[in-house]
Amino acid sequence: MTSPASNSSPLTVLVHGATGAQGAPVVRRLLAEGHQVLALVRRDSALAEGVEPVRGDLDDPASLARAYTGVDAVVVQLPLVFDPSRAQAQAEAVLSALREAGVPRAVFNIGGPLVPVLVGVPYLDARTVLATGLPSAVGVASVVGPAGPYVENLSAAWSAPQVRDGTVAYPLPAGAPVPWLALEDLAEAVAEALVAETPPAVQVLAGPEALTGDQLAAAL
Amino acid sequence: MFRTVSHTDYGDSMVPHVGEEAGRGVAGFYAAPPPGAPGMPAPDPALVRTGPTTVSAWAARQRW
Repeated sequence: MTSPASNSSPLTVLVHGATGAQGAPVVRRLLAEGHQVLALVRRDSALAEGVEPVRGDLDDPASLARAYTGVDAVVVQLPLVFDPSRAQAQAEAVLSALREAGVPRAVFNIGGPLVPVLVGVPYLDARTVLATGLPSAVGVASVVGPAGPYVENLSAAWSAPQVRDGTVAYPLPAGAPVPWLALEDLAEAVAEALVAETPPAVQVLAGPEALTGDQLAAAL
Repeated sequence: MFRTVSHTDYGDSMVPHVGEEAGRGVAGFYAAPPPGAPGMPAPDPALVRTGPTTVSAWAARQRW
């Protein structure tokens, strides 16, 4: 992968969802690169060594602004919220808090497809609102999302037993080539976007090969 | 062997692990659009960045 010219000084980065499947690889990557990592938490959480917890709640905009104050950058990942009364409000709270705290830059990991318009599905619409509003909320904004599913879905508790037994059962057409993405590659893209002088406004991340179902099963 | 399952069956397999709402919601990503509705557009190739990790390299590091 290549990236625009970058600033190599360590940053103080606050990460949403730092203990989650997508956030944890980002945290590992940022720590490995020497950045100071803060984790946004609602309650006491077991965090990776070297990560400092900072209290904040997506349903409490003032707490987000406090959590964001003084950081160099924020990595945003939204939870899967299906309640329409909360999902978009959380996205708007993030945007408002980024502005209030004067955060210089942010990277938003959509965690799914980038949908350009509101479609009436709360958690998708929340992502659209945040991705659309981010450039006006911080000085440097970058949005990343996967082109296909994550390979980690295949080792999840509901898939791994079947994979161990030689079967990949997945809700995709067997003949469709799919660019399965590893979360470590997502983390790399997030980390690069955090330090690039001019990161891409939007990146769609793909694995290095597009595999049909049988090719996927053979690769495992 | 690869086997296509419906998004509802996939959701059924997720629910015991992540809960009803999250399981159904995530599985819904894979639902076909209603008849007549436009599908998800393919990403602009100019926006696509390719990562280095192959499925086989990733799989070799897992504790299956």
